Amino acid sequence: MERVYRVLFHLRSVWAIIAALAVGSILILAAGSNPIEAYYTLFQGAFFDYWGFASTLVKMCPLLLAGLAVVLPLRAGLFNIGAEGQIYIGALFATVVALYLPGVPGPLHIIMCTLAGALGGALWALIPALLKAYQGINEIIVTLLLNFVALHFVSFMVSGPMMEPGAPYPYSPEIPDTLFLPHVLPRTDAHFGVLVGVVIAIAMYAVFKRGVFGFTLATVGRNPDAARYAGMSVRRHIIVSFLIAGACAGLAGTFEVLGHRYRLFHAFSQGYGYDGIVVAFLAGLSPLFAIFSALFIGGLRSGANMMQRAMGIETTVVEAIQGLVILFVAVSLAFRYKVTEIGKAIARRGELEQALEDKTSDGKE
Amino acid sequence: MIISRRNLLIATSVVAGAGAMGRPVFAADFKAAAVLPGSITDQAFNQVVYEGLEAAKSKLGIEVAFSEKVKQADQVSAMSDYARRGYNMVIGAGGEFTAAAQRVAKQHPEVLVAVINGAPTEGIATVNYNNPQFGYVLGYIGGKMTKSGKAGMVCAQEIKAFVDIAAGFKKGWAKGGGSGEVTLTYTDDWDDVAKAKEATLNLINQGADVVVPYLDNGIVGVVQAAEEKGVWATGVITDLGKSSPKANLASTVLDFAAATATAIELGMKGELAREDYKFAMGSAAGYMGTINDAVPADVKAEAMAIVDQMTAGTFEM
Amino acid sequence: MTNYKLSLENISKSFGTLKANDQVTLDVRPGTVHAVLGENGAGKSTLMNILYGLYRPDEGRILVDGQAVAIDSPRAALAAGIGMVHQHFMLVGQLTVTENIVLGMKGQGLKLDLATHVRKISELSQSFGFEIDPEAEVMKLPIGMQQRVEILKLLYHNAEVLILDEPTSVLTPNETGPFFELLERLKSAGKTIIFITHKLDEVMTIADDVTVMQDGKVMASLPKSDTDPANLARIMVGREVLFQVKRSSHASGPVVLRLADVSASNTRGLTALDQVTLEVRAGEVFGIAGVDGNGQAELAETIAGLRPVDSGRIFLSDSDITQTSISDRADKLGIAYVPEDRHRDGIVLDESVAQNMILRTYDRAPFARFGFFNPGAIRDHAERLTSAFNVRMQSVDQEIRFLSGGNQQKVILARELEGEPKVLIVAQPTKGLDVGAIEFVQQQILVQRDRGVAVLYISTELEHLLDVCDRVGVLFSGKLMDTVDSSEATPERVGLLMAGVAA
Repeated sequence: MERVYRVLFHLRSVWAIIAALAVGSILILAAGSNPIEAYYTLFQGAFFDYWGFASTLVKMCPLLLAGLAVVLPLRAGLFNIGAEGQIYIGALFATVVALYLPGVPGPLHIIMCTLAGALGGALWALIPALLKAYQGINEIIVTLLLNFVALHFVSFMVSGPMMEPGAPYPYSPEIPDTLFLPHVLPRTDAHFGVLVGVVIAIAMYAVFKRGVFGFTLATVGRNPDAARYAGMSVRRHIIVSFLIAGACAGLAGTFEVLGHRYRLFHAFSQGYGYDGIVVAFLAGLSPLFAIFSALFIGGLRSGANMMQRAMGIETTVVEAIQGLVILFVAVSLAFRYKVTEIGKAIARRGELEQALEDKTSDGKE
Repeated sequence: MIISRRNLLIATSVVAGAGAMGRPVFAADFKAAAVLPGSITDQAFNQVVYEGLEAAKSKLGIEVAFSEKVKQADQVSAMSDYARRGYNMVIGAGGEFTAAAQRVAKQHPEVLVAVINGAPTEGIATVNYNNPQFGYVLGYIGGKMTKSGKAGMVCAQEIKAFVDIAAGFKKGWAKGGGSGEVTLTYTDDWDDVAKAKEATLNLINQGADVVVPYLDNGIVGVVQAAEEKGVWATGVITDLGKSSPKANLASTVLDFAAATATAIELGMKGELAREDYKFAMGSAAGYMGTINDAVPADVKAEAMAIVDQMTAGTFEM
Repeated sequence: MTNYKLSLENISKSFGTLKANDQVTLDVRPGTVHAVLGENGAGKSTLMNILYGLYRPDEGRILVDGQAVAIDSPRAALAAGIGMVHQHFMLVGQLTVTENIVLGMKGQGLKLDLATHVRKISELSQSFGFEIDPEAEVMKLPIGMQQRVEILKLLYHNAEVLILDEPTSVLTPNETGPFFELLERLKSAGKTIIFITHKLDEVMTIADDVTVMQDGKVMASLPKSDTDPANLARIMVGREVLFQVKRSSHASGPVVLRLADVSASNTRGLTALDQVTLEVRAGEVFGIAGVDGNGQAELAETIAGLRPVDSGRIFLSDSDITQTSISDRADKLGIAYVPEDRHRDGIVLDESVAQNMILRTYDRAPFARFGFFNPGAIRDHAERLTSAFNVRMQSVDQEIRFLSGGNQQKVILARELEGEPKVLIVAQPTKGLDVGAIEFVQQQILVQRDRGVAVLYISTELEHLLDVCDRVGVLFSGKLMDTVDSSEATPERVGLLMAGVAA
């Protein structure tokens, strides 16, 4: 019985999704459609239709990378709410390299854009990391507020210095087509970036499972006092974890430009960074499960379009159902949070703050 | 909303000699899709285009589909999704789709990509109005009625259609006797009522006593501001005389439903080339709406005379 | 009929198998300061939390003015005239003094008449010489003044008995004098004060009566006039010797570890180590005795490299290591460290026994290569050490949190001793262990000594020190009072030093 309960408990995200869809079916009924048919369309469209699956993958790429940008710092008990901003700055850096470095051969230029994007995201994440490590300033607030700074900075760039001349809307010129990322599914928009995301997720899983860095990062999160005793620098781990997280989010922005949109738009991300938080928590903070939760959330997004198109259900209903899923998942994770990875992560954060306040030396420094 | 053959005659091809479009297809096989920036229940542009789509569906018996509330950054993926799924014609609703439409047309040469209210662009069909004419008539009446001599125009983005209307309006305004400046302002949001109202109040404070909204839902805010401050508003797309008879000075009607339906019908028949089409003032898809009774009869008569010349194609600005 | 203000009769309270209070009986005379003295974990706080209504006793009863009262909540305690000032203040920083004091008061009606309260609090404050501005924002007051706000709050709520939990631990030495004067004034106004502390000198200064607790039991309860610091020290730490560790006599070698005038601050930034100078020789166990909180933790952390020195230098075999990092001290110099707080510093509870075994060598071959672990090597290493130290567990992959305290300590010892260190610092290694485990730990310390290691052994348990140490130094208020040879170190002599009385 105990075992049955535990299995049920570990699947609570799944129950939450089912419950959310059940409540959502009331909305669909109210909108005058058949919920079973609507959900069939949604999942059929998102996962079992060639074009639909491609569109799921397109949405999965930034979701996964943003999710990883949340998972990694949480290993040390730090919340990165700033993936959204890191996506924007990453995309900006990549676009600048793409547009203003002509004459570089295509493949090399793609690599340069990618590195620039990762660097942009990392630099943007460095700001909260330094403030946290050296001044103890709350990283949740800093990362959150920096999102708005990044959003508006990119808006400024694409409606001013980088704006396509005569464009009806703030966006940059199109990047050269030699920089378009190859597609993983022929004749679709599903680009190579999603593979990069999956590879990074698997690598992160391996590092968490077997890597020395995964161990030190977890130790810093689980017991910062013991970490200092073992000679691990708490500060350095804060900074490194945010740099890597920022690079992941920066890649999300980069691939949006190189793989999908081919130009930098004002407000192009529409919350991928925040959805990354949902992806991370739905995956129970596992980089490996993040692949599946990003696929699921991406499928929900693309399938919802399909459902809307096929059933004529208003987008407001579709948006409400997506909101319900996120809400229900969040609530399910609160159950007995103390024993879950998430509860531990929250506890870690408190301990880390305590350790930073201590005026004692900080391991290897 | 009658769709008649007459539209065909009035829609004049600007780019001459473009190659004939792909082969004509049977109605049963033809599929058309529209991608809309706003909600199909916005009681403005989006709703009207949607109605045109539905009208084409029922009249021609073709299969249609639409996506609403598509953001600028998602335009390409939404349009190419339809293109890949075998839709013969993909329509972007609004001038802001021009760049996206061009990219989709390049990737999917087999698909006819059209933009309603789009600026003439290579490789796609644009369905338009002779916008300066519509602006001119409204400007002329406004210029006759203004006391301050100043007018204000509110749009969301600096799109070609609006710029053309504004150019016509300014000419008409000066011709009618408006001595002062015509100020243009952009709210960056087609639907935000509060933003539109704020922008309008600003214009009125600067002395404008005729305001011209070119918005979707945002029109409501402009009209509210006009009513509160007791200045005139003119409708360009919809007839303000029906919804706000007091504030309405004069309105033209851009019947995008008719325009959309006409374009689809032409597309189905293989007669819509990848070029620019303009509906003239006084056609079934674009005509004069209500003029306020406060406008003196002689002004009204002068305005209608101009409209007649435009319809006949003899008007010179 | 007694004339005690407050009496506790046979109070017992258990947490699981731990008896935190065992048949505690305590009588407090009205208008006196009654000190409750004991080491950390002696059961003082549990007893006071019972009195304050935070815990319910398993048995026993509480009498106020001779009448049995049921105290099941802090509110009930206050209604009975009992108030408590915790070590961590219960104040809202953003509110003013007055707002904090009236917070949660009943019978306010709908409208809060702050002006009247401000006036009354101001009068009360002046009558006791608190020197508090009732309208000051609490956050902006120094800690010492915040403590006064807490006391004022209790007085305003008509408390007759004030329980003060280690009140001087938050005060600087300069604040302590005026604080004691304040207590005198409260006493002369008829208030009864229960003063919880582990500092002997404070007891001798302020208390009228003293109750000494140890292991949840009352060891003695007597008027101050009937005792002296040495006696109290012996009662406090004195315990039957449970076993005898066999100690072979041998000659010690050259000086390995040397501290020269080392000063360091504690976490709150106050001086915790004051110009400590000491030498530990190879093959010697040097004991550090003292009442808890006199700088022992800071001494260990400073030598291990966790805490920077404010001044002074640390030498290892004549080379200056004052600025060397903790990992280099452990790794390259061979300074092993068994920290006092196992769970906080010594192990990571969420990780496996095997991972904890390599906590300080995790990045070295064969455990790690190219940034990735070699689980086989880590496992083998853990298997070997756990069997050598006879660690009881299910497997080395088990999370270490599921091991008993003694077995956790064995894991730490095994890890620290594995690299054949030159210096071994052990802080309170026997705390919370059963007799068998204590013996094992002590034997290991002696094995290392015989190997020629310089051992610094810090403990508050004097008889454990005397069992294994060659010399014993006593820390008091961060100063090394004196060093005595263990053959001459009687409990009385060391006890006096622990109380700050120089020989």
